[in-house]
Parts: sequence; C-alpha cells; structure tokens
Amino acid sequence: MKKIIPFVIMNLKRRKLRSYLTIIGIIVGVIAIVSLMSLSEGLKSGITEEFSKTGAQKITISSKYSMMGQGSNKGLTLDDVKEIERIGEVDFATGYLNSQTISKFSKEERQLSVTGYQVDNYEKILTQEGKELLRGKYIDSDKSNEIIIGYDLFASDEYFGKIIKLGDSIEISNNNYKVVGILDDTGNVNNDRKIYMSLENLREISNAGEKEVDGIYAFAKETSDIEKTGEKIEESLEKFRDQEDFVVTTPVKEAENRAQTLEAVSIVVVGIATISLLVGGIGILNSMYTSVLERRREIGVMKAIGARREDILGIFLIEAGIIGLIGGIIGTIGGFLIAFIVNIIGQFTGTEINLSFDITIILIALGFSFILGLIAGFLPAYQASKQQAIDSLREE
Amino acid sequence: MKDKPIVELKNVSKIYKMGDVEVKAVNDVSLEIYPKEFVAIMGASGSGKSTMMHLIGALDLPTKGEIYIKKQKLNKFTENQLSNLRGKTIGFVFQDFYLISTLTALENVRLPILFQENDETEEEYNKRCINLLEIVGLQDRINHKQTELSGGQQQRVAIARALANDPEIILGDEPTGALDSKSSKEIINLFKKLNNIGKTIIIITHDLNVAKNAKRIITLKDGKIIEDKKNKPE
Ligand SMILES: Nc1ncnc2c1ncn2[C@@H]1O[C@H](COP(=O)(O)OP(=O)(O)OP(=O)(O)O)[C@@H](O)[C@H]1O
Ligand SMILES: [Mg+2]
Repeated sequence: MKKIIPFVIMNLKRRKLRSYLTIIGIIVGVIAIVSLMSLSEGLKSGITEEFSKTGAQKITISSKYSMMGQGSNKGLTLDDVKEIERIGEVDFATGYLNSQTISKFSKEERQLSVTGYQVDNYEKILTQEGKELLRGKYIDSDKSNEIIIGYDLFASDEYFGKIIKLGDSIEISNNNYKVVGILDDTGNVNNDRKIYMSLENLREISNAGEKEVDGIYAFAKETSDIEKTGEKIEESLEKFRDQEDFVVTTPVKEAENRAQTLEAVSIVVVGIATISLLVGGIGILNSMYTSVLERRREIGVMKAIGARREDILGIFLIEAGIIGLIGGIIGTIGGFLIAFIVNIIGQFTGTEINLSFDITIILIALGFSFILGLIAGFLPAYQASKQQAIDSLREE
Repeated sequence: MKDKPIVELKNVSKIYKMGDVEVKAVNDVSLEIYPKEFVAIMGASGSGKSTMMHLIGALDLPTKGEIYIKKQKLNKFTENQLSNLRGKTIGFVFQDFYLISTLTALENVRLPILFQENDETEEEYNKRCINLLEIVGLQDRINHKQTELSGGQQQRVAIARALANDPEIILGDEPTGALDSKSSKEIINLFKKLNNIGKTIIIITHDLNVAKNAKRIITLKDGKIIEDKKNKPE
C-alpha cells in the first residue's frame, strides 16, 4: 500500500484545476469550524477572566426605557441610589453617567468617553472594576473639577501629540479639569483611554437633568449571596418606584447571558459549517465519480497488469482523502486567519479574547477533513475497484 | 516439446447472452501451449481471438471448460489470485499501448511493481526498470512522456511494462495493429528476442507478415480452431 502513495500524488498533480474547485465547500466548512473553535475557547476564557477580575460584587441597575432611548419616561435617579443603599446586603451604591465628550489638550481635540461616579466611594468603585491608581489620588469632592485619566493617555502621546501628566489641565466640553490621578494599565484599550470625574461635574456638561443617572452600580457585601442581593434590590426598587421599569443584572447573569449569546452564535456557525462540509463532501464524491469514469481504461490496464481490488480501492480512496486534507489545510489556515482578525477587532472594541491556536484544533480539523474525503470517496473508489478489467479494455 | 504445457485449455467455451441470442465467442476449444513457444493467432474479425486471449490472460473466466496456467486451474481462483497471476506470470501488450499519458516512460514501466509484494528496494527496481527500457532500446527516452514518443516507441514502453515483473508469458492483442510496417518489424524483432531469452509469446495478428515470424500459427473461425500449424520463421 505504501508504494501506491507516490502514484496517488502523481494522479493528484495531473488533476485539472477545475476538479479542485470542489473542495471550496470543505475549505469554507473548516474555516468556520476552526475560527469558531479558537474564538469560542478564547471568548469563554475571556469571559471568566473578565468576571473574576472585575468585581464579582458589582450589580448593575439600568432603566428599561433609557435603554430603549425613550427619554420621556422617568429614568433612574439618586433617590433610587439611596433606596438601594438602605438594603442590608448592599455595601454601597453609586449612580453613574457616561458621556462622549470633545476633549482638548495641547491644542489637539479628541473625542473621549468620560464616566462620572459619586465621590463617596471612588476608590472602592474603581478597585472593583479592576482599576488601580498608578499615581496621584482619587476624586473626593463633587465640584472639584478634578479628573483621573486612563493609562494610555499618560503613557502614549498618540492621542494629543503629547503625554498628559499629573497636574495638567484638560479642556472638556469647554470646561477646564485638573488631572489628579493616573490609572495603571488594564490591558483593555477602552478602559485605558477613559476619563473619570465626579458625577456632579459630569452632569454639568452632559444633558442629564438634576438627580438623573444613566444607571446604578450596587456592591454587595457578600459575593456568595450576589443573586439574592440582586433579588432584594429588585423587590425594594419595585416597591419604591411603583413599577418594574428597570433591569437588575448580576455578574452571574451577565456571564450567563454572554455564554448564551456565544452559544447561539456557535449554533449558527456550526450550522454553516455542516452545510458547507456536506456540500464539500458531495463535491468530492462528484469529482471522484467523474475521475473514475475518465480513468476507466486506466483502471482496466492496472487490473490487467496485476492490480488487486484493494489496490484500486486504495488508490482512489487515498486520492479522495488527500483532496479532503488539502481543503482542511487551506481551511485551517483561513480559520486561524479569521480568528486572528476577529481578535484584533475585538481588542479595539474592548472584548477580551484569549485566542487559542491549539494543536488539537489543527489535528481535529485535518483529521476530520481527511476522513470526510475518505467517506466521500468511498463509493466511487468502490465502484472503481469492482470494475472488471475486461469491460473497460473492450471499449474502444 | 517435451515440457508440460504452460497454457492449457480443455473444452473451453465463452458464451455471451444478448437477450435470447447466444454468441459463442469461443466454442469448445482445446489447446496446449508449451514454454518458449511463439504463437500467432489469426482469424477474421469477430472470430473470437481477443476473447480467447482474455481467457488465457486470466482477465475473464470461461462459461464452460477448464483453463490451466502452469498446471493451476484458473476456474477455482479467487479474484486476488487472478490478480496475482496477471501481475507475475503474464504480461499484456495491447494494440493501443494503453500507457498512462501523464507518466514518463520509466514511471509507466514501474507501474506493475506497485501492485506486487517484494523486498526489492526503490533503487533496485528503478535500476531494473531502466534496464528493461534498455532491452527495448529506449535507454535515451526514459523520462519522455507518451506525447513525446512515436507509436513504435510507445509500444516498446508497453512491452517493457509487460516485462516489469519478469513474467513467463507475454500476450499481445494485435500489438502491431496500430503501427506502420517499419515499427511493426521492430516490435516483432523485439518479441523474437524475448522469445529467444525464454518467454512464451502469444500474439493476435491480422498481418501475415507478422504471423510468419511465429513458430506456430493458430487460425480461429466462429470461435473454433480451424487450423493449428507449425511455422518455420524466416
Ligand atoms: N462482452 C460481450 N458481450 C457480447 N458479445 C461479445 C462480448 N465480447 C465479445 N463479444 C462477441 O464475441 C465475438 C468474438 O469477439 P472477439 O472480440 O473475441 O473477436 P476478435 O476475433 O478479437 O475480433 P477482432 O479481430 O475484431 O478484434 C464477437 O462476435 C463479439 O461480438
Ligand atoms: Mg480482437
């Protein structure tokens, strides 16, 4: 059997380019599988890492309507924050505002996102989000016009053509703010170019009304009771507001939601992969049948010069397997390429993906495509092996 | 001819059924061919020459009667045993050469060895195949493809291929049928040379000029042997 492999390779070389088009299905299928496998492994570990890093104690309360952009309804306010802080299981809570601002420094203007928190627990809030102070101090008064900047703004001059240092002044929406703190590198591009200020300072330059907040973060005393704390918040807030026009999200739920989204995406991709592989398999089947027909005479000659059934079967099976394998190799490379690109895009949008270029993924993809080729090639190869030498030799 | 026959047909018939009509392509033929014979089979088109040769070459089994190659009864052979016999004991040469067009002369000659178990190394059988190409006079055409060879040269590659596993019997179904008279002559001389080194040669031909080189001429008509005579090759 070993001896026929060089012959099979010669046969593959003389195939027409057209016959290789049939492997596109396999390529697409394998691309889908490989990129999915390396991305979903990465996304999964990204999700767990993210949730262990950022506070497992953080509960998010957001308004249903503000999420849907219906500003006319009453959103969440600082009164809700006070109500939540009354709950025994809650350590403390803060309202927050987020705003995209035009920031000016050293004559350069940039759009930056600014977050405002209540000043009472500024250190705890940032720590819970995995942000450590590298230099300076936290913000401790409402109208101080002080800001804390993300690491990138301090470490790199690519934003304003000049790095920002402690004590520098930045103009944000036509007001001046003094940099009093610099955060350490979090590795997340989104975090590292943010600006933090007090909630009330941000209210002045955003369009939020008095007491209004975009949402509330509540921090539980006990991580283990996080779900229960979430339910308590839901109960008391519903009583307080007279209606359930808000959503409470705990880290566990959040992780579940993300995992569910991931699963849904996976199902779609697996579906696409299955269809493509099926099409690819049928492509190989078809191309092998054609080639068995084209080589009828040759099969007859090979039988006349001593080829056994299993030799003919082997020649065509291995040929089909290698065609599958070629599709698998191209698909694996393509899959990793796509995963790589998605990963780069992900980094810019702040999604943590730990890409896994795992050898097992490669082995699975290649083994699978080879076997798919074998399966698709079996019927044509079997038909070839059954062919009687005499029949094809008689045909003129 | 004191030897035992290398090919023996005992009351062999090959009958094709086409609907209600029966075609007796070979009709109750008995025949003995001895080692080192050079036999030419002649006869009109449709007289059953090819059918008989396929039976001798273990490519087909008879409807009736018994076939022995080297005293082994083919009727009872399994498919693999038949393949083995075709690979080792018999070498086929066809009218249209049937080379694989994308392979070089050497690669074509090496083909039969792919299907045989033996402990020859790669270099050994490569060398042997080159030697076979020398025997047929193509030492300077080893790496030529089919399209780069004349008809006569292609047939010589096919003969070298038939010799690859050193068979005792060489069968040719009109091996000169597609060649001009000059090439025919060269091929016939090659068969004579092979016969001289001990191969048993059986060829089908329409050409009396070819047949007269054989030591024995058998004539078929309607699936029966109507003449079987010794010939003194000139
Ligand atoms: N597979 C088949 N089915 C039906 N009839 C067949 C088949 N093979 C051969 N025959 C018939 O058997 C007879 C002998 O055919 P064969 O090919 O042996 O003749 P031949 O002597 O080789 O002829 P030619 O000189 O034209 O090659 C013919 O009548 C042919 O039609
Ligand atoms: Mg014939």
